[in-house]
Amino acid sequence: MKRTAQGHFRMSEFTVNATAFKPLVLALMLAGSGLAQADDNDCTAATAADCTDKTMDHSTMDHGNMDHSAMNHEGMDHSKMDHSSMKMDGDSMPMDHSKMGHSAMNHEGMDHSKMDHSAMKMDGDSMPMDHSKMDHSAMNHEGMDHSKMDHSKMDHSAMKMDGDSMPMDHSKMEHCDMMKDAGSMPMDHGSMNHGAMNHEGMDHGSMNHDMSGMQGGKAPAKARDPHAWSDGYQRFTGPYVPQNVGHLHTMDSHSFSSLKVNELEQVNEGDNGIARVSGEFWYGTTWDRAVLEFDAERDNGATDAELGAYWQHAYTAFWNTRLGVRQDISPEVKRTWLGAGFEGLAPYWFESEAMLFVGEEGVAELALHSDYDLLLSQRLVLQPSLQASFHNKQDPKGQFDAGLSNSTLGGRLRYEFTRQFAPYVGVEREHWFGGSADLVGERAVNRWMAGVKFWF
Amino acid sequence: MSAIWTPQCSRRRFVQGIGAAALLGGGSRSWAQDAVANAAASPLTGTEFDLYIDQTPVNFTGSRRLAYTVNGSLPAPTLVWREGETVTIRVHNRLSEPTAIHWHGILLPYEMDGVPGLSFGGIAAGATFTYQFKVRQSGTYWYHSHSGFQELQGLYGAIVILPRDGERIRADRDYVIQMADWSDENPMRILQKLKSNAGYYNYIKPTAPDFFSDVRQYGLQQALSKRDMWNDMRMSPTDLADVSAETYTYLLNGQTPSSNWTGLFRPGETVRLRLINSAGNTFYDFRIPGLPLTVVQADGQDVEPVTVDELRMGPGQTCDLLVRPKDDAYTLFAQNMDRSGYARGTLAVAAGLTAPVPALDKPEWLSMADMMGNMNHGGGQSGHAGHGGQSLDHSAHSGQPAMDHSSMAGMDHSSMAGMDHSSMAGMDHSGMAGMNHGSQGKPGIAVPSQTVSHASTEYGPSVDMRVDTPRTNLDDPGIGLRNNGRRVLTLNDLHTIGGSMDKRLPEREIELHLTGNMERYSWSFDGLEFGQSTPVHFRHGERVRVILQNDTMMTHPMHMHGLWSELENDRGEFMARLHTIPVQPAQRISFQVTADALGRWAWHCHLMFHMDSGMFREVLVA
Repeated sequence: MKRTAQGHFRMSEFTVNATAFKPLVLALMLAGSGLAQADDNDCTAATAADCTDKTMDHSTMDHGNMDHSAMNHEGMDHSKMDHSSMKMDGDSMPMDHSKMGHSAMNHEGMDHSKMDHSAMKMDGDSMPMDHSKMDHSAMNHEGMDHSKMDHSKMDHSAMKMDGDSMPMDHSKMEHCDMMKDAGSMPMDHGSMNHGAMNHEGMDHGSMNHDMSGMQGGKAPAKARDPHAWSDGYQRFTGPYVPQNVGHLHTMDSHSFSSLKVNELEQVNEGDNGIARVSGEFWYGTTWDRAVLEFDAERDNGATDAELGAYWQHAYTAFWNTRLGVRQDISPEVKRTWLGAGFEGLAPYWFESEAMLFVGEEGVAELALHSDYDLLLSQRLVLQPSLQASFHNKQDPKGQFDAGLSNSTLGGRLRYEFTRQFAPYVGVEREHWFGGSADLVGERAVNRWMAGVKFWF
Repeated sequence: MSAIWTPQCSRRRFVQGIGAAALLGGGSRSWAQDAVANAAASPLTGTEFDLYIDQTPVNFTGSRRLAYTVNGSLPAPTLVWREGETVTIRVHNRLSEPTAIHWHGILLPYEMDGVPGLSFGGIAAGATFTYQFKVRQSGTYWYHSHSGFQELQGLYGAIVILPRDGERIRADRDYVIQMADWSDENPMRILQKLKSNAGYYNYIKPTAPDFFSDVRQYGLQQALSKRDMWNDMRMSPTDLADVSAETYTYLLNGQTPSSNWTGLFRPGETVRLRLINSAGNTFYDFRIPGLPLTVVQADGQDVEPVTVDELRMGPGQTCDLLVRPKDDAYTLFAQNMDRSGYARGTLAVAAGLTAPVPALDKPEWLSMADMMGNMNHGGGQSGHAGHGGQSLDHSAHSGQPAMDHSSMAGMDHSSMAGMDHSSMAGMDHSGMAGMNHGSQGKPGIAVPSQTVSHASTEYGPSVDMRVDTPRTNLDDPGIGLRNNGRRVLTLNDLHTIGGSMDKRLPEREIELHLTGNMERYSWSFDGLEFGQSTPVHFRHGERVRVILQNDTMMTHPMHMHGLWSELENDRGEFMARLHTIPVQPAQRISFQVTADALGRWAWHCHLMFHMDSGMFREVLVA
């Protein structure tokens, strides 16, 4: 390694206009700047309507030519309005405000502080409001005093935040003009007194941000066609495609592979020492993989192994299906199973697998497995795991009986020197139940083990 | 399958790099010999250029590796062009594999764009390809390989185009500051690891002790609810960078932090810094402690000067700054987004002088706004702009971890007005739907649509979340930079001088969503990886609006080749002419394109592992 002169490089250095600095030269560049002013200041702000009479039919009313511009609401006191029994839906109140001009309305002095909305119903069925084209740009809120707003009794816990129950669309509300210049922005936040706002009783902990709409689910019928923007054009054919050259591809069409040895360990069960290895090798794309699973023990010269070969297919964001065969090899029994099931990540980060196996002689097994990585630090990880097997009938060779036959609860504490190399120690307790326990000749055993987890 | 054991003791060296010049001489060619003496070559000027692509030994970490170089240099030599001239560049491939050079941000015929398999056939081993095009713009740009992972292993350089009528931005000195990331690991190996374990390089995951610390501080319920949403959704709040300093060494002008690239100045001089983020997969937050940064150009286009303390740059973006240093030495400090490492250089009055290097900031958990977008029930996002974004400090509330107001982009009090109105139950304004405030007689769609429209392919295994309430404000500096006490550049600060290149209103809108599945490490548009996608067709000559909504929890720097992306705000007002637009989590942005360049163009996330995992589309102008 050679160190260059002075330990730095003059790369890319060159001088442009080495004249004295004139800071205001930049002012030249300011010419022509500025945002286009929107010339649309129509204001169609919503105001309270006197419409407590549920039986009235306003359907033939025409407000089209009303001019509210000179209305002065100063001094209105809404504090005792009670909307709790109002029923407002499109059918009973097809008012058309579209031509109302509220732009010069003055709400100065309105005091909303004592409004009680507690009994209002805010769901989509009873309130199909569409504010999407409202323009509040010229509203004057001067003089509004929020200081007495008391949020302490707000309870968001019952709010449902999914699209179905709250189809209000405020997304196009035009508050932005309010910020444009001092003239159109009489709101003075400087004098707003938030100091008296009381958030104390707000309980966000129980807010129900219903996230269920953000993941998974079926595409609604109105979902966008992802190919609509192509106008029928395809990649690699048609105009401007270079001829006689290989086509561009990215790694999404590439196959990867990985060998994971989850357990390579020495197991101590009483005085008995058992060597065990388990893991999997996969090869394939992100969506479809060939998986070879292995789980083998060597105990006093006898080998007990389960080998599986599956096609793994991405089914949902977090779950894969698995379909394939499993071969059991032990001194007592050799059995081939057909297997199908799910593998993936359950909410709260539980790596989980549920496989149903059907073997020779009409035996069937439901095998469940779940584990969890509890990070004690970025490298020290405690992994509790739970595994359980159910069978459909008794099979003395396989040492299981109908029902829940056995379960294993374990914990391994590993240290990840790298993500790919982690020695560990662990304990586990295996239980056998009912007839299975009789066939095995044990109710439960405890084991401890030391090993290493690694992958390539 | 090599080196699965990385001793901890080498970690500091990974981050800092070794202290000596990293580029080793290789071969007997004259340019390689130059490289021994001078790691980065001198700028190349003129109208004819010969670039020799080769592999050259480097040593950034204590281990010798082969880098891809141009004329033996890493970064590649800076090319200096002049607006209006026709340049001829002969690229000689001395590799044993194909290569291709893409001119990032340059307007040119599509055959010259350099994407193998899309715009041309690539440059075969041993072959020479001659690029020739007229230079129709000025400013700071860059070039890099668009073949395989060569860019991630050194094949990038700067382009400086002098304006036809002379430089408008006066400076006494002019430095290219090209930031990049380097790994001793083969990038293909990195991608394979991410495919196996997407959190492989993440060493800032939430831990049990973090949880108990929150329990002690805030109580059990708050500590639980802080995590509940993330755990329920199987999303990580610390998924800030897929690849961290665990494997990356961060470079500035080809120098590690410890070898400390240094640019010289005389006190009182105005220094122009041409920042280029050429990293493969790293967002940089750049600042120079003690120096205000006056931004004068973004993506090569002059912008109204705006002075900030700090700015975030995604891969592909460029930004020109003017600084006026007075002291003896200043540190150029560019920390990565997950705060695991930094690139560093120095501005000094003499070689060998240094200034203190700041500590890395603490990594910050992603916020609710990063997942759900607009948390503000009242809408009116852009009203937030009036607060100046960062001047609003709710940090006093931060004792409530379940809801961090300090990072809630959408929380503006202006929307309280909206809340009042919403509570005036029962008014049916649906009849107003016919009113169109935008058009004002001009044909076209003035204001970008805010109606979220998910593609049918977003409901499959390739997409782990969808945002139904995106945020549209541009004044959020992004995770880790909110309310950090520094004035941070946002997209809202960028105003290209002279306004839009095309005053027409867009005739139609094209909405696409940026999507991904972090667990599977799959990235896509609309849930379709490149391999399943069809081209996005722009009709030749049209002015079209593109709406990009980010349905992921990561920021994606979206780069469209061959055409300008004219960023607008959510009211359709022109902001800045860019070639690479960073789109934040749960953000919905729009830009307008004048489809004046016939051909097939690449459009992709410039985080190269996202691009190569499928966040890539072909744009066809026909």
